[in-house]
Amino acid sequence: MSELNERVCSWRVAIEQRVGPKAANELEDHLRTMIDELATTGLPEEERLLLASHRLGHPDALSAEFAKNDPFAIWRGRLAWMLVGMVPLQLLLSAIRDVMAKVGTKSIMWGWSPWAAASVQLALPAVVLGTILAACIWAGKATRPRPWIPAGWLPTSFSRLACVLVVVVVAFTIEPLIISLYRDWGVDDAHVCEFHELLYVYSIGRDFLYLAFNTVGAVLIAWLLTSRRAEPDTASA
Amino acid sequence: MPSKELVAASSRPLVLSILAEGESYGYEIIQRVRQLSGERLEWTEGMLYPVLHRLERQGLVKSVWRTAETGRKRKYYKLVRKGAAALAEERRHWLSVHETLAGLWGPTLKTT
Repeated sequence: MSELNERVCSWRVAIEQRVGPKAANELEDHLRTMIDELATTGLPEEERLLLASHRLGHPDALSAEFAKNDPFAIWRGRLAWMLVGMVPLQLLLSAIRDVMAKVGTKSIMWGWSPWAAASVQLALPAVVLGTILAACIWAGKATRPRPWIPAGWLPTSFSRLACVLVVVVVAFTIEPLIISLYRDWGVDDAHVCEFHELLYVYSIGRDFLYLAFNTVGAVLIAWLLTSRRAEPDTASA
Repeated sequence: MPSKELVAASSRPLVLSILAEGESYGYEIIQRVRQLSGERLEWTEGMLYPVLHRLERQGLVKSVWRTAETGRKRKYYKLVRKGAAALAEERRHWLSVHETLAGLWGPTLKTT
């Protein structure tokens, strides 16, 4: 019996890692009950354990099914995909901004105000980001039935809407905020050299920010994708 | 053998109906399903527990840990009023599907 106990214990360790202690208690009781009932078949203990654990299901399959009930696991899966999308998006945006910084500087040379230059700088990323978001929403909706109804193009839940809004707000508030701070400091708007300096200082700060963001993002992605599977796609009972 | 999706869809009304007969626990529910279906419905037994936990989170069943006759701790599930209402609703939906199909096929299962 003690050998069987040992085997059940190591089975339990594997299960508990995947579904947590409470669910593991239930599953262990189920397994032990089944092993007891199978005693009538005359099978040796070891085979009864094998049969019972087979009937209960593979630990990975069970963990996937239990994860569907765990909001944290589901959100962790969603977060992983958001981060996966954010990194290329950040790279694209930083490339566009580099180009637009040059355009903004040039427009100052043409005698535009810093505000007009800043607006020009923001226009292209806004268009690109808007297009990307629209494409994402469309791609999400297109997999569902009846994608051509206009109302179906809007985010269907508050959580999705919140995700979209956070991305939009973060992307668009940083730059105008810094430009307006620059104005509040009372520096002459039309001063071309200082606008140059501002852009230079801003671009260094931003590069550090992006580097930090991407590093944290990469670590998070690695953690999310290597930890236990979240939001499995197949349903079974 | 019914498809995985059909088995998954039927797990909710099945579990609710079995709990409507009285308090029960995982292993016993599985035995009851096996007996009722004549082994035609094949469940991966562990998959029952996420279903039970979902029902509990939705407030349709209540659970309590007690020491079983084996001396081990065991979690017992019981249908609550909200669960009975949900079961009545499920019953209506499943019967309407059943009646529609029976109207086409006839009411009895000829071969298995």
